[in-house]
Amino acid sequence: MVLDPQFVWNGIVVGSIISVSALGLTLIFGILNFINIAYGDYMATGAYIAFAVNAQMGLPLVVAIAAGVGGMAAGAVLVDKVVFEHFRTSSPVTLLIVSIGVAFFIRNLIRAVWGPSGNFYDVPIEANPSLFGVRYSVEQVSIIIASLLLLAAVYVLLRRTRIGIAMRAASDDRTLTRIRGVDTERLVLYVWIAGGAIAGLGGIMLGLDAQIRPNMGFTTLIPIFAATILGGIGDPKGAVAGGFAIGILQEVSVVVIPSEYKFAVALAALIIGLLLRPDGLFGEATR
Amino acid sequence: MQFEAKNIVSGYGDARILDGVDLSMVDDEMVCIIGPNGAGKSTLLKTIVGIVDTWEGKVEFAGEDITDLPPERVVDHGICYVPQDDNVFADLTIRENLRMGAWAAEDEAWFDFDDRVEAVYEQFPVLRERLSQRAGSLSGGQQQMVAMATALMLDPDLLILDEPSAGLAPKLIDDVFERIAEINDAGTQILMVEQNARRALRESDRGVVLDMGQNHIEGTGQDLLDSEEVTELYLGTT
Ligand SMILES: Nc1ncnc2c1ncn2[C@@H]1O[C@H](COP(=O)(O)OP(=O)(O)OP(=O)(O)O)[C@@H](O)[C@H]1O
Ligand SMILES: [Mg+2]
Repeated sequence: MVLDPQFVWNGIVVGSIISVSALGLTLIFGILNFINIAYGDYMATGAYIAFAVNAQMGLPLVVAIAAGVGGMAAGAVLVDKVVFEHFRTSSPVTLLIVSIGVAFFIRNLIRAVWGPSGNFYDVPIEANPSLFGVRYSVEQVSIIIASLLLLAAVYVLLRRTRIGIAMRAASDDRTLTRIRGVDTERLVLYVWIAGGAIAGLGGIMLGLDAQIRPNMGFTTLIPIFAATILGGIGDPKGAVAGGFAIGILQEVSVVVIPSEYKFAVALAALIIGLLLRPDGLFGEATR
Repeated sequence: MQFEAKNIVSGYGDARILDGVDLSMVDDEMVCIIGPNGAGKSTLLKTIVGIVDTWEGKVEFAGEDITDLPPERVVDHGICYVPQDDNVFADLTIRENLRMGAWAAEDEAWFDFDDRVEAVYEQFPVLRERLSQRAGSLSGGQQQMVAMATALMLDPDLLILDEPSAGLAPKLIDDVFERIAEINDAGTQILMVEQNARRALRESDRGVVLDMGQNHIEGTGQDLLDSEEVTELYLGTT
């Protein structure tokens, strides 16, 4: 069987989107210690805000992206203040269930405002150029570049800045972080801002690559969870590696299985990954 | 500086662990708390630094009321604390751990991180070669050094140590006690809990026996070592 480079290319595009999205989810998990099911709907919200600004108000896409990213950062903080903040000391399972409620609420709000059908961004439609037999679009190239820039920025944040080091410290040991003088509620705020912004960007990328739909984020949760857990939940580097692995695997799989089943690949990868490497791709030791 | 804990009552959930503990310290003193397992020694330290809520009583340091301050604010009063377990950030490098230790002062004009790191390396030379190593990959003794070095980054007025020699090889125990004595000689007041009671009492100005959530016997380190009651009840195994 020959690997069609077109599928690999598609996989890199999808992998970029999953990596970015998984990174946001894992950052939130690291500090708040719960799996936020509403994350997929944060992505959709970012995509729809950008859609409103771009296709409905007629402003350029860059402005729309900034609005979607910024809007979702603010939205994540708002949801925290209204809902999650009241459950800080609850168990991760309680929080998970609460987040399912939030997820339903947001998705139905989106349906109520924008309707159930699919939408597209207002981008110039051009014939896709091709290189070495691989067809690519301007959007796809932009998605890859934007995700690489974002991944680099988050790396610098977590490794080089004082706030980022404190975020890693808090995801390691919250009490000890407080003992060292850090107001961890302040960190939680920053993490919602970063996580919400990243979710918004992930959603916009998803909408650019495919379609903007109310359940676009929710249905992408499986590959995102697969990437997050395969990479070792709470480990940013693992989430990124897991995201690219899942994305490429999923797209290449269409050679052997019908493409409507490609999400099963993520699910299978998740289960096999958990069985073989319960600690994630990089395990504990090399984080 | 004057440290005063009066009639402290605290615990976890419904469990009342401390039942009216008094503790006072004066300038530059080194005080050691001993007592059997489960006596509430760690709980007392956690209550002082704000990890465990104070149910009753009052804690004062240098004339200021610090009762019930959250841990992140206690640091502002010149008090740094090294917990009994989980006292380093395993995922962070040594340098990053020290950076966290300096958190409360990093914005201050007088504070120079590199200067302070240099001063701490003088005390803990083993750390120098391992700067960028993950703290979790170090041995127990080295982790204890990192924990103490981190707590010293702010040059605290009061250093609180929970069992600094626990789980260390005999040679390292000597090392740790030597460091503690040096830190105290340099003018930092020290409050520590120790299982290694004889050794700790020998090094300390004063000792306090805590049992069943109350303080029993108090005196100079030598007094406690000479006391028949203490020897019989609390120093039997060490
Ligand atoms: N987080 C907690 N939740 C509930 N009970 C606790 C908690 N931590 C300690 N305890 C209980 O409080 C009591 C006192 O514990 P503490 O850790 O203060 O004892 P200790 O004197 O430090 O003992 P050791 O010498 O073993 O360190 C014990 O009965 C212990 O089981
Ligand atoms: Mg203890």
